[in-house]
Amino acid sequence: MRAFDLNAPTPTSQRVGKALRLTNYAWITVLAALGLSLIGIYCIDVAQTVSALNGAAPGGYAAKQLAFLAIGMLAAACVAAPPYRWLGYFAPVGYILIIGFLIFLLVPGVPKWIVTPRNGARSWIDVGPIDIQPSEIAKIIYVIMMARFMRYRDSHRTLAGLIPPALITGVPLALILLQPDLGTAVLFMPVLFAMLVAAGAKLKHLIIIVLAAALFAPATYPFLKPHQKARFVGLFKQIEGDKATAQDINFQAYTAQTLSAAGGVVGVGEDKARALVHFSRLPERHNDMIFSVLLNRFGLFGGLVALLLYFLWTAGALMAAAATRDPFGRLIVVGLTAFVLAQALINIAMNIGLAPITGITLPFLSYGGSSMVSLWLMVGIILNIAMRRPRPPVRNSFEYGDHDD
Amino acid sequence: MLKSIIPSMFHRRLLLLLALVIIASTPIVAQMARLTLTRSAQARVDAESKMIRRQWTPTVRGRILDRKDRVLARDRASYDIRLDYSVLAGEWPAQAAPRLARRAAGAVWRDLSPLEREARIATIRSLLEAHLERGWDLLSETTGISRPELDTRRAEVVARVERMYRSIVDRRRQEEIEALRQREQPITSAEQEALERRVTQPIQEQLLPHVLIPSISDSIGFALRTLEDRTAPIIPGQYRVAGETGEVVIDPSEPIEIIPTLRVADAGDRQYPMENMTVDIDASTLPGPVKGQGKKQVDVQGVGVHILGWIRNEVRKEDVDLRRAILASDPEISKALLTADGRDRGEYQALDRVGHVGIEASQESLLRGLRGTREVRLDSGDEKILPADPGRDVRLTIDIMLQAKVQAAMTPSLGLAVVQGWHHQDSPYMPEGTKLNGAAVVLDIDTGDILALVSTPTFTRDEMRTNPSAVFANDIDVPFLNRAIAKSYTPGSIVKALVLSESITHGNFQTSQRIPCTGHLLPNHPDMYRCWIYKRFGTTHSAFLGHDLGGAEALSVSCNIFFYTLGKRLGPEGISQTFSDFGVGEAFGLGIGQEFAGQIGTPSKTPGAPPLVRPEDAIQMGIGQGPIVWTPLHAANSYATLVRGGVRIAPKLIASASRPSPREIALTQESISESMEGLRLAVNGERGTGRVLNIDDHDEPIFNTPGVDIWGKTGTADAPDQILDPDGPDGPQQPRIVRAGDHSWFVVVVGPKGGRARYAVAVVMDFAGSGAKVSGPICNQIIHALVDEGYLSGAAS
Repeated sequence: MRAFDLNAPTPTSQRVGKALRLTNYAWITVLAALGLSLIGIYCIDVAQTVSALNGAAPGGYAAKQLAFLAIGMLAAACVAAPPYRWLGYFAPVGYILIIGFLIFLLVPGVPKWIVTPRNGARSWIDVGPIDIQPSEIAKIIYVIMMARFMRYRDSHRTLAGLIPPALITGVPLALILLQPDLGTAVLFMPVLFAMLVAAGAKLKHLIIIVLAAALFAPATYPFLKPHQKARFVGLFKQIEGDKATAQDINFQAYTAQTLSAAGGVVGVGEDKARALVHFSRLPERHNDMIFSVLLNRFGLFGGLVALLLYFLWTAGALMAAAATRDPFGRLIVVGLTAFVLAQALINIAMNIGLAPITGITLPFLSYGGSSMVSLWLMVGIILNIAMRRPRPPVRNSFEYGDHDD
Repeated sequence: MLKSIIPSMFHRRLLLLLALVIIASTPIVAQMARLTLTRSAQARVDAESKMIRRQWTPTVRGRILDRKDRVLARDRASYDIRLDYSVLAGEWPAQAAPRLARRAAGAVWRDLSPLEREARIATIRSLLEAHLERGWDLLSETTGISRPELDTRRAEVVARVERMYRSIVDRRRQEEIEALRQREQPITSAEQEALERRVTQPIQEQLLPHVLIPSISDSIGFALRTLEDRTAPIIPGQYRVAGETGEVVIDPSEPIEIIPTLRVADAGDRQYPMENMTVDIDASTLPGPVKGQGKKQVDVQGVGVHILGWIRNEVRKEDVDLRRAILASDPEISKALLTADGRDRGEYQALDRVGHVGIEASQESLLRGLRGTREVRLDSGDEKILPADPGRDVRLTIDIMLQAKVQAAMTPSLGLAVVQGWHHQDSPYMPEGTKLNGAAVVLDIDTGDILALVSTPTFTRDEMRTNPSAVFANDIDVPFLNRAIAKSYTPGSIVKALVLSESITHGNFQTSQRIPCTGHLLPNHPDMYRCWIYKRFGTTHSAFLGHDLGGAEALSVSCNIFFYTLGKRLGPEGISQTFSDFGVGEAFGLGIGQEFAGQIGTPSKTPGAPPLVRPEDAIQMGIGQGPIVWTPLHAANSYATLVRGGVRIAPKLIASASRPSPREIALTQESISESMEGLRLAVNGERGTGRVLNIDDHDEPIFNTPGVDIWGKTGTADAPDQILDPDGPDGPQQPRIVRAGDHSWFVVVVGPKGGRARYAVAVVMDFAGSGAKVSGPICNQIIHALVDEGYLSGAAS
């Protein structure tokens, strides 16, 4: 009974070289990412330019995003080429470097031309013409660091053994939380969870921790900042159907939902969508709220297609992880996938009124160079991992005999 | 089991993660479906509504016409330029900047530090200030009013509002401090602060638009209308602002009005073309020393002001409530008044014109009209226009020329409405030349239409604006009071015709009977219930005429003893019935404001109990004295009822007004004939009290209109003195008498010679003394006016 034998050798072209598996599941991920990126570019155009009367809004967002896509794909190709094992060697150094960067962001007295607070958060470093958001890179380095740490261990199968992974996660998480960037920080939790699950941590430990966290979570409410509290209050008001806040704290949420709902089953026509989106004055419509634009333009159908693409993206990545036998590669893929998917689901949830609005973007669809490039870097890494044939001695990683699960 | 199918734990764990993903996606798919499937229609409407800019288009207020379709009130198209106070005062940039900054920032606003917020607000504020400056320049350019002139006007409005604000804050503060002092505890500093916060709240005038440029021409108005809803970026051609933070601080789609809050308001000047007139009076028809040759021109001002009322440019809560009540009253009505999406086309908006008093107020909902709408779709530029429905015209039963002539007769400059030597008024409070106030009513007997309803003194709408205290704070003359319907008067002898008719009908007096005039009713009390002839000449009518009196004769000589006797015979119940039969106690609901219903008897001290009429009151009420009060309209109406043979038709002022169907009081034909004969004799008979005036021992007839038949009755009614006590009963100043004497009444019914009586005329002059001497000549002028205006065809003046 090998019904799910994902390790079966894939037929490959012998001419390209024995070491590479050019036909692999990661291409599904690449194609899904490309599809999402193109949809995103179209939606950014819809969000930013109204074709009719009122003249052009500052154009070029879509064109820029297309350029970012090209750069991202190029970057992906670059990281896909060299064997990913070298990532392991540099992981500790990279981790320490990125922690250094994250600390640097928080150091008071750094000149404003280097660290410019945007929207109140110290998340960016200006380096010449390019601005770098260290937390984006931190995500990737963190996943690699975690994968490197856990790849040959089984200590995380004890409760005490969960402490080192928690520390590796906790340091960057805390630093990002201090920027403050609650949205990005929150994403580290599902990633840690997914990597631990994949690495074979005992499920009962994880369940205990998740339950404890769930019980403990309300107690953190008093420690939230006022504006963060307001978002939760806003969400509750919204769920209660309190329309009085529609012009006020919930303006963005209501407008997003109105636009989303207006899309109906198959969306409104292009010109209409442009007009509706434009005159709705939805803040961040090309960015955090791009999913509302998508729903408006393509309706439920469009939303399901986007979800399906995310699902394909995930499935492709996970199948690639399944196909490789290298524990390091497997964990990297799971970690990166978790980041992208968690971010996507949270963003969509906040667009349709299921989650408070925090400043996180929708992977591949939202406007932004830094995130586009880092997302495609992730795709490149996944492709890289999927292409490498396992080196002997081949053994299945994360198998613990009779003590599985 | 699963282990045997998928031996690799990692693979099983991957499947577990995938399952978790699917579980996590389920609520997302469900919510997406809920939004797009169940809320899509409403959401689309909501989203579309943001693309539609709706504008009301003004309507025209309806006209008010007189019975001959002369225009009494109309709208003249004109425009006012209005701007919000905040813009005029230059506070707008500071007020608008935080909102714009916040909106542009969106969700990230909450992440900004106070300093960063301040910086963004400051940037936008300076941009808005520059934007507003450009707006003033544009306004100056478009209207042709220079910038300095424009700025001066702005400063004037602002200074006026600030003065108002300061005085209101002072008054509020004083009141509050007074209230705090009352409780006799020291005021804490916290209370002081709270008090200061309360009293410095902005006043209404600071929240409303103000007229900056009134009455501009059509072409400028039109040019500005096109600017009204145009928006522009606050930095032309540039949306991104590189602030300190290097971020976009202005939302490019944020519409900012080119001239913020500019409104070209349809000012619609309300014009009253017949308000002031000059009337010709034939001087040869005037009595005694006033008589002259040819025409005498009399300026009459404020003609019909008590009837038409006026409008105000201020919306009050009661207007809004009333409008809501109208809308709620009937779904058919509300359907006609609403737009497709349910907005009231006649809704009250700040600075709307609202009928305040009189017909303008009572017919507000008809006159007001319905706005039109102009909807512009911002995406396509398509326009949808719903034309405005002009307000409906309201036609009155008034004849404005007759009204003017009646007023002319009562204008002091003509000489009839001032204290004259031959009036023998001899009152220390009212020396010769004192202007006399009063009221007159002309009623069409057949229809109940009110042809004229005059109350003097009148006032003009200009006077009301420029010198309101002369209108509203004149406690002696009380110009705003409509005496014809709202002041209570003792009727005096004019009721004798009614008392006679009722007494005959109810068997209290037979036409064959005679009653002696004994000078005083009670043999042993010569100082009570006296006849006027006894009081003045020490004789009795019986002695003077040589016989006792029958009904008609008693009426013509106005014998008090005769009518005391009838009052006594009728008793409290009978006399009360007499007056209520003729409408005392009922208001007419003319639609021009407060009316006095009249009162029979002394109001009882126990609440709810009927008014008290004692037997001795009944005797007094027989001659129209004692506890009986009514208005000039009641007087005219009661005589009209008598002439109709007891048929009561409610008087009306608005041509289209519905009224209750006529009622009939049971009066015998004999009783009516006897009263009419008495009324005929009173003004035509040798000894009639209303036939001649005695001026300088020389008799001249009161009435000198040829070709008419006149019936009538004088009345000289005892009235309580008018006392003024400006500081109230507790104040140190003693109350002082400002007017004293009898009210002078004259009521006539008049018809063309040989025809039936067509019009009832009632005149009363306050504290003017003799009914014949003062009100008689005014009545005579009113009959001349009726003939002049063609109401007594066949008769020539």
